[in-house]
Amino acid sequence: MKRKFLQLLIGLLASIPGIAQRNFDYSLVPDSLKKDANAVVRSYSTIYNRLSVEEYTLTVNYVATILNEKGSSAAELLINYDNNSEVADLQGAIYDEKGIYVKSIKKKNFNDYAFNNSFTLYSDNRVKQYSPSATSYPYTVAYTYSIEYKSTVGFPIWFPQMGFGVSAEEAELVINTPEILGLNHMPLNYPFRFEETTSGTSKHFKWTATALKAITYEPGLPDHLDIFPSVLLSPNDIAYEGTTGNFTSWEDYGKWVYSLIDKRDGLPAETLAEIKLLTGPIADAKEKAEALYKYMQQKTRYVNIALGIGGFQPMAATEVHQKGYGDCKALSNYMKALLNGIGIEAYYTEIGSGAYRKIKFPEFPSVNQTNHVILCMPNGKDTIWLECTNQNLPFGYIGANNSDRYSLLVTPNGGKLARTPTYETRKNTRNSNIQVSLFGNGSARIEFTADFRNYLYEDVFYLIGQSKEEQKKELLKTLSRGDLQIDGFSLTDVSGDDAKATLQLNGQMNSYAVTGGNRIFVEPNLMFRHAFAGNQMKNRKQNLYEAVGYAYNDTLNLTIPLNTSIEFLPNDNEFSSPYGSYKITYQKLGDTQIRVSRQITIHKGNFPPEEFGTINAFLTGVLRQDKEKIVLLVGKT
Amino acid sequence: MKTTLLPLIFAFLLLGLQFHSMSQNQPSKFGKIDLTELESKLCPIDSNAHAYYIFDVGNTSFEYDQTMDKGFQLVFNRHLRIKILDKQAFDWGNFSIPIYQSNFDKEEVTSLKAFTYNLEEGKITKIKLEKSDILTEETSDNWRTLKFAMPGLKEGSVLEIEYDIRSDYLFNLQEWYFQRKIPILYSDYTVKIPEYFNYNRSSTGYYPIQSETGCNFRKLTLTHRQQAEGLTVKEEKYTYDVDFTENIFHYSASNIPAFPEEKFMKTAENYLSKIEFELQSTQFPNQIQKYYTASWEEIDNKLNESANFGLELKRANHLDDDTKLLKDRNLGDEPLMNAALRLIHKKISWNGQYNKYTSATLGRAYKTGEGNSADVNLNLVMLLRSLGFTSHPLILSTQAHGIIHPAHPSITRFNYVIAMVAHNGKTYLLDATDPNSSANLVPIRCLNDKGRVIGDLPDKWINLMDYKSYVSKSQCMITLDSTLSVNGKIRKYLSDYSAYFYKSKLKESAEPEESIKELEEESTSYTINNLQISTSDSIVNQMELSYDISSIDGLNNAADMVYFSPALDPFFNENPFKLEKREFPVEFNYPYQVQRMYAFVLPENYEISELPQPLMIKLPEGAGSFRYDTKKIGNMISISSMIDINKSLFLPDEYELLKTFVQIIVDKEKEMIVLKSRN
Repeated sequence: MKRKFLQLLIGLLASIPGIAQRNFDYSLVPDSLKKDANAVVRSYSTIYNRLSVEEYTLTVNYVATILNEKGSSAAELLINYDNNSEVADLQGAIYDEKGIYVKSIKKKNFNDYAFNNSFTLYSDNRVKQYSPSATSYPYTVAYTYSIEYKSTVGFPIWFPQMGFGVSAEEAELVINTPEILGLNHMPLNYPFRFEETTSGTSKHFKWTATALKAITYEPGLPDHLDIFPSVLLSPNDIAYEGTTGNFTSWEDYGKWVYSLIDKRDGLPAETLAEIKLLTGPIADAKEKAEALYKYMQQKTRYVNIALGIGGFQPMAATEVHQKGYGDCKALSNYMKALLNGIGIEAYYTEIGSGAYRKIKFPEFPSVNQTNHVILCMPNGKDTIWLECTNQNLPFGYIGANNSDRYSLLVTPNGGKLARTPTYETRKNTRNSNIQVSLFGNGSARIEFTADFRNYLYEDVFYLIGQSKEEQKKELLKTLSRGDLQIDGFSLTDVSGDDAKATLQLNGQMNSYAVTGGNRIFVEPNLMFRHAFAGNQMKNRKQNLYEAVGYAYNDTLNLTIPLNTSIEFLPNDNEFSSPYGSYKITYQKLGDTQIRVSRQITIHKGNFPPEEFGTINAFLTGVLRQDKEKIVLLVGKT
Repeated sequence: MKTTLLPLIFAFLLLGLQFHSMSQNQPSKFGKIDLTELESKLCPIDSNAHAYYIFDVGNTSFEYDQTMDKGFQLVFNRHLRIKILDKQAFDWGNFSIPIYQSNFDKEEVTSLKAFTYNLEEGKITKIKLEKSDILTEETSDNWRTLKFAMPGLKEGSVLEIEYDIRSDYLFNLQEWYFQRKIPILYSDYTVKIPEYFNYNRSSTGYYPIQSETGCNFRKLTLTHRQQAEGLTVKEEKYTYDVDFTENIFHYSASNIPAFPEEKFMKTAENYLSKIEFELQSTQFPNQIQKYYTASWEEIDNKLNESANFGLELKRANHLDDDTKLLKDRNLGDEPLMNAALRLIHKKISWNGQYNKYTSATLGRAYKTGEGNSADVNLNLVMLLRSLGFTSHPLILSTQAHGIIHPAHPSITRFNYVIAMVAHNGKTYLLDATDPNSSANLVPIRCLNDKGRVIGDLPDKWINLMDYKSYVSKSQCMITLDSTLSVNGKIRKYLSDYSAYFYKSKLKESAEPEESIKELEEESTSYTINNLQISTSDSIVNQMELSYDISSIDGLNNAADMVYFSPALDPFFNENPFKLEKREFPVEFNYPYQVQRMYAFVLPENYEISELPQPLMIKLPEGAGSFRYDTKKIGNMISISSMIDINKSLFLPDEYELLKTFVQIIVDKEKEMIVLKSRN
């Protein structure tokens, strides 16, 4: 009996190379790696063998000890693959706390399914997935697999740690490549031990890391590439689905992209005639472009279908025109074709969208720093940027997700880096004016107007195309508490040079103020909640990152009930921190009115933990000050 | 499942196909678009709609496949037309048709045609969906999905789609939804079933459906060929007729409003109007009747005899060691049940899969330490039995899966199983998939109306709700000194579902400081120190928290007056019911019992100027109550606030009352104490 067990064990260990040699007893993990950790990567090896300009294999050995439920993401294996790649030699095993073998994970235990994000209708992305179900913690899971790739366009960024709360004992990244194909690489956030050797016509690169401490998740963190140890990789020469390219410079990278879009911007003659007719009477190029942008918005909708090269190559403009849909590449290329059709120059522009994806390293060209395409129209000095995937977006507004960063203009001569516009704090505003008539029972009639500009326009943008009833429901859910009844409202897009919307509303709040005995307590209700943190961030370990600054300017005029007098008015207050500033005033206007004015500004920035003393004082200050109450006395004094 | 009319040595030819589509029910022929449909700018029954179905018509019929030995197949035809009113509805132009495939049976889309119609300068134009734009995704092992985006979509477009699905899978005839997220002007479903098949039909939902039945007499001319033995191979042909009745079920509904998404609803499945079919029995000529499901008793028998259910429980017990271990602990009845639950949880971890059937033998699940809900809980039944309890499996449908309708026997409506114990006249429910559950404190997913016990008990339907409440009690003792600095202690006693939630939360947070963070996020009006959490292993559904508070926000000090709100730990921070009206009931998972006791010791240099007034309100028929009391004893104020909600379902016309009830609580707990300086 015992012998049989031993044989089984040996058999399994032999089949998982690199795993058997070590003892994965949890007690061997040093305390420094247990701190803040939900899982410890015990050993992780990633090996790329580049066979030719097209082909390479990836071999992964991964062993992690899972300490609790929260570490389960480090236990889950997710292998992405598509028509270009094939997964081979997939297997795994589970060990107990002492590192003793419990059971194997066989090929049939892995799930296999189509893998599309929410905005993708169809792609050939698939995933092999497995997540162990644990009976007790800690336990150890080991996986080994390889993937054979038939096409090469880039290597993903390598992270030795699988996210937050995961430490790593040892990890290595190895790349073997024919010397002539070359490799561009850059380590981040950790002094990896690096070796580069040559043997014959091959080059060998190796990065190793040991004892990487767990990083704790905190809200509002900067980009992962500012925090996690990682290695950026990019092959110099690529061959992908019948195309070839050289990625040693952004210029050359841009040439490859241009080869994918070249000659895909033709339009049928009757369409060209139609848009010439449409824009003919307009003199100004910008106004012509606006007319075409609206034409494009009317004509199309966003549908993402990504198959093979279709992940990089846009659908032809004619096809978009005919079908009326496309993804960011297709719609930007279509818009480019429309502009070209009336003789206006515009560039297909690659960009990283969102807080965590952008061309962060202008000196490091690679395929995986961008994930989106917009359009750039030089228009002399007045450059116009167009986001083409939304039917309601105002002309020229590209949203905070695309703003303030490098983009790559794809020109016939190759790629050119250019900065997208920055939406400045002072232009990202909400201005509101609220009239409140308070009644003796604590209820109030309210009437207000608010405008939302640029970044804060995005707060209400999603509501703009909705029906009246949907808007009303959403307003009831999001506007400040107090048993609000909306009698009438309107939300209007009034975008011009800035994206801007106006909200007007009137209604009744049955519980505006609290009454008790012969007093009324009024917490001036400024209707909107704050977008920034409502509580303190104690023991903060890492920077807080605000990508965009913004400002609230709110004024409230309170008419007090007949037969009441003001017993107490809070003091004016003003305070600030590097994170933001706050100012409030309470002003008597005659005997029956009080004006409360509040200005809050939140700054864009990357705030280090040392500043959290003052940032927390600021946040607490806002919370306390917003709760200050005006006290009214019933019956004249 | 394959069904043939006669033994397989014959090959059949079906002549005189009469499965014409019931065009009399179809509001319009394919491609015959009315100008008014394109001109429409508004949904006639909902001015807020972004899109609506002009019609949605389905037909299911049976066809006899003479090739191979397939026998009867289901042919489902759907023909729909959607009006797109504005951009918000463009996603309604993307379609996904899921297709099931197993090793034995498969579904197949045999035809699909789709067009987009637009109005251009007063003329109707149409764009065809190209075959090359229909993509098939291999979604998972048993599912494929046909996907396509309609071309040329614009505001005002009309989409028309018709497709057929041919299926070998007779067990589940296509269900039909009469209500969707957008309004439907006309919905119609016709099902024609040969007399050989008997389906159980279950129609559920809030919105009424018209139904009518009828029948057709049909003739199948069958041909079979037989090879005659001899020197030359000769084929002889026989034909003969089979007469049979085809039962027709026709359902329709008009002007069905969009289904709203609402909070406090367990699942839309319970309220959406739909019709479902389940095969009960088949009877072919000269064959005996074969039952699939017909009555609840037959379902019980089927489960009892299933290799992955009842028979598993009759196998040799692999739990003897564990039984002995637990018996040696000499526990009381309920603690013993809980110990058994915990032991099974520790031995077999739940892999997250819902099932009423085991995936392998119970012994195997025990050995590999992993399994679905049946693997886990049938092991628990076995252990409870060997401990001497009368224990049976209790099959149920989880919340997201909708409730069971006792009038419609159906085995597929159940997707989960737990353990039940009948002991000393009491019923206990146990689920070992969740470590924070205990006897009668089952996970939320199980709190769904009634389940059925598979065992020898007189009453088979077991209520799954109202065993335990959400009980949260707290005591706050606050001392204010002459400079108004605060020294306070809060003790919270959580039991049953409130303890269950807190424990689940604790498990997620690795460090106790995270719990403090969460507490602070919940109650932003004070600062928390010294959090202590005590739980006991023996009393599994209770826990106690205590912490100190050193400041109270909004302790306003205005000259010689002080104002503050005494409800430091309100249950409702705000009213969760914000909308004006409700279309569907508000559902709660359990009753609520919330008690708050506050005691304030005031400094000598202040006197009480105002106190909130006591209040008592009740909802009709004991559905809920709120009682708020204030007392002044010397320089001490004591305030108590008690909320009870005893009803789990509030109908739409009770919504207003419920909303007001909660608003009164929220308002009351905001009221202030006013102190006046004696100086």
